[in-house]
Amino acid sequence: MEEAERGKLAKDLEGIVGAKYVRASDVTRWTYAIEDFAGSFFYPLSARYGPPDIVVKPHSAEEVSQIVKLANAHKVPIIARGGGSDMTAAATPLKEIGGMILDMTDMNHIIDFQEGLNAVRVQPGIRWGELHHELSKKGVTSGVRGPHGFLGATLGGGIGGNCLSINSPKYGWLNENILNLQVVLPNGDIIETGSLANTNVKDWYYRYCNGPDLVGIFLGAGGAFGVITEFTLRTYPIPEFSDTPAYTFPNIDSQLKFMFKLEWYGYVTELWGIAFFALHESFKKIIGPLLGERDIVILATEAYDKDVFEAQKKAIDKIAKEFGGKVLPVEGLMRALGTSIIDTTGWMGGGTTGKVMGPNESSTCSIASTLKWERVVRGVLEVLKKNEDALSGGIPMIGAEHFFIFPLFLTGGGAAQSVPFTPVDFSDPEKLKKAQELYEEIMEYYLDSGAVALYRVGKESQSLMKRFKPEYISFMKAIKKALDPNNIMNPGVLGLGLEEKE
Amino acid sequence: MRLEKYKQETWLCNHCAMCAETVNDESGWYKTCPVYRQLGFEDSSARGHNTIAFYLLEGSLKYSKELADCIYKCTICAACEEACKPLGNMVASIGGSALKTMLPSIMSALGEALEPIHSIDIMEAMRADCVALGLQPEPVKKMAASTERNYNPYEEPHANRLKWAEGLDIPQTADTVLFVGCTPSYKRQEIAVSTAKILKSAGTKFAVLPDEWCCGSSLLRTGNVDMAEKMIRHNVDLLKEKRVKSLVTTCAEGYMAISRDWPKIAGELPFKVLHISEFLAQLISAGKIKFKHRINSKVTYHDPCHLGRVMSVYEEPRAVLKAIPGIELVEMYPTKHAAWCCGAGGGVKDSNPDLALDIGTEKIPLIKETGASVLASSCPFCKANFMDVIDKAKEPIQVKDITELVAESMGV
Repeated sequence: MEEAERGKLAKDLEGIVGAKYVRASDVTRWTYAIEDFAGSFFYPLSARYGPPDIVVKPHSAEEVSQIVKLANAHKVPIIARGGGSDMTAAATPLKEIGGMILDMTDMNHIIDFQEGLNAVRVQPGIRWGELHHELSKKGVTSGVRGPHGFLGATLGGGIGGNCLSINSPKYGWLNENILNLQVVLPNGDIIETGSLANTNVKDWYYRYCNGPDLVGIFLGAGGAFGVITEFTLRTYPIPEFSDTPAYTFPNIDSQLKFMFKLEWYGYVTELWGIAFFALHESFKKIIGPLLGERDIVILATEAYDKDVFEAQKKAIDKIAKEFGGKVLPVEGLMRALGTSIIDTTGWMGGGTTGKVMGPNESSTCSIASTLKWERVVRGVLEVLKKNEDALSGGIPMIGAEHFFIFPLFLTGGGAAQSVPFTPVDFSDPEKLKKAQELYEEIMEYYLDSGAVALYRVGKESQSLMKRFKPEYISFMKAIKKALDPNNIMNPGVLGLGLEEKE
Repeated sequence: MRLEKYKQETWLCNHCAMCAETVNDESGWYKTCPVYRQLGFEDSSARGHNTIAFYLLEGSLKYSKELADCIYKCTICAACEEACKPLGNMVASIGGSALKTMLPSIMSALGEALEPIHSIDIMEAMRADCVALGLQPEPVKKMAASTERNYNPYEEPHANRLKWAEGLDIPQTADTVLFVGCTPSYKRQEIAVSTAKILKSAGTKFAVLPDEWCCGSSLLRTGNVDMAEKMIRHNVDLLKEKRVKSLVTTCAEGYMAISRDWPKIAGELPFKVLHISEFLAQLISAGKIKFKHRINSKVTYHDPCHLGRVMSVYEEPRAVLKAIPGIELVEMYPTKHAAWCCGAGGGVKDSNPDLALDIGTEKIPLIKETGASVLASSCPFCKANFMDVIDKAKEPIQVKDITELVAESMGV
């Protein structure tokens, strides 16, 4: 964007939100050219991405509406951004197109919570920690607790990016807990969905009423069809009883069947697995002598009633034995530490994630049917081993030159997550390029396998788009064209809005 | 560029935003970065600063006046680094050093995972590059120029350094030296006077040195590395020449600089270093402090960032306050490792005085929530900024250094 045009746009924006909330300087703009880094270490250096032309912080749906109308007049793309930790560059501008970042973090208020309603109405810029803090004062929880290690993430970003969450095995994904939305459409209109579509309904929140469920098209859409300015989220009472049992299993088949059954029966809140075969040799050397070559499951279980809780734990133990499980005594340790696997949002954040896991290509984050997980992971391991030279150095953890590990997080709905964590020597451009090619190969393998779905799409959706049926793509493009004829809403996300460039 | 050293570090930041705004009831955090709370854009958080560093190293950004103005708004309060090591903190809370002995292979495997991204080092390296290029803000230039001429940043004659001690009859030679620091020497002399009176009354044999120079901390925090080295080497040579065995400082920033920064420049120090709160706690335990008067007040304690988060001195100042008859110590939330900064650090009081006041003012509701009528601290910078804050807000809150409260209760 030319400086004169930027100056004019800045002035117009200042007229809407005030000068304090508009920034057009180089320094500010470049700090919005990166989102999650460990997960997407290629993007900052990629030719595809760059800084926005301008950054603006709105404070209300009305301000967003005026900004959207202005963007239409200037034909400037709008990219709504939350906590800035998306792993698929969903809120990072494409270098050739640029655009205006709507930093939504000042729209961070709880609008409504009433005793007796099982929902809280909030603005999208609220961060997970703040939500938990406010809800706990009222004795309730959101159930889903946000992404691992990203306490600074906003709920709005999670909605747009399809956030898998801590506690998903029990409460589902974040977006399964959304009831109503308030959305500023690409033409500037402000709509409300579900029960709030009725002008007479002000404070009763329900999703599936008043006709079609229009919430769905905005969830996971990365702002392609509008800017979410409010939403309601289910709440639950805080369970009084909880614990963190763990087991080891003789083989991956038993481990997976155990995990699948626990989730199916509704006994677990959160559940992790570690498959021995998928560990790097360095880890095998630590875990092997301690536990034998067994596969680990650690889970959180909770209930509102002591009798139910005890019965649930007994039932879990019975199922574990059915599959050859042996108790791994971590329960006491977790209690002594005052933590559980649900609290990982806290301790996995910060430098921990970057330094333990290293830069990893989390845009390959994907889900597979739990029972097919082994087949999928063995396939990825073959790809990794074939290209191991691309993955050297970078991370000091255990001094490993090369390693990869697949934690098996159960994600709810009978699906398990598969994420390669790998060190890459980012100071070596050649190795960086090789690593990028390797991850593209993994992505292709995933999508060819037919057993895997990428759940984060963002702007790295090229591989996925090739697999979509033409009718499906036409349908999405028709929605996009109808809603956003000027292609101003986050062009490139979901592979949409780039027609003029193609 | 000094920043080159941190290339790997800038790659490892995973942009989780905990340094910008963490709220975590389990670990006691309620918001992290004081500057981000005020300014609200990415470039005011540690994550943003690390991104700036990344793009400086990558070449998309160049050092400029605009960039310098941005990075000199950081108070170097280190909340970002504290929030960035949750795993490290968890391990430390269950006995990190004991675990290193008991479980060496696992602890060594965790390695640097227990460390935060060193956002402060990255910031200070960028500031040093700015100084090398002459881009630092004017007040920072003036502060450095004064320090070069007068060995203090306040344009005060060096000859007046011990003016506060007139009539107190303090020797200039002893095994224990009270390293007074520039701010208590020239600006908050009541802290220096109270400290000297307490020590004398407790029977401590100590000296003050007329040729003490700036400790170098303000210079290091603002990127004036070469001049800081000159100050530090002078002080270390002086203390060695005087064969000092232990050094007590009344200043949190000075304590951090002497304990942490001096050895990096001048090698291992041949003397022990104590903050006054640690020394007072020892004197109280040994029964050498005689309190005569009750101070019937509710007092809340502000943790100076460099004494608390950086040097992990949390309990001693509280022990001193609790020992004073009549004082009811009440805690703010958040506190200790998660305490909010006063706003004055990192040269911000000089370079961005309004920002320093705004950050300090944010803390007033936390103080009022405790019901305290006295805000105590153990850092002259914090005291000075809070005095301005309270004065501007016209709140009925007294701001005191812990040494003043001790002296008052002792009747000295």
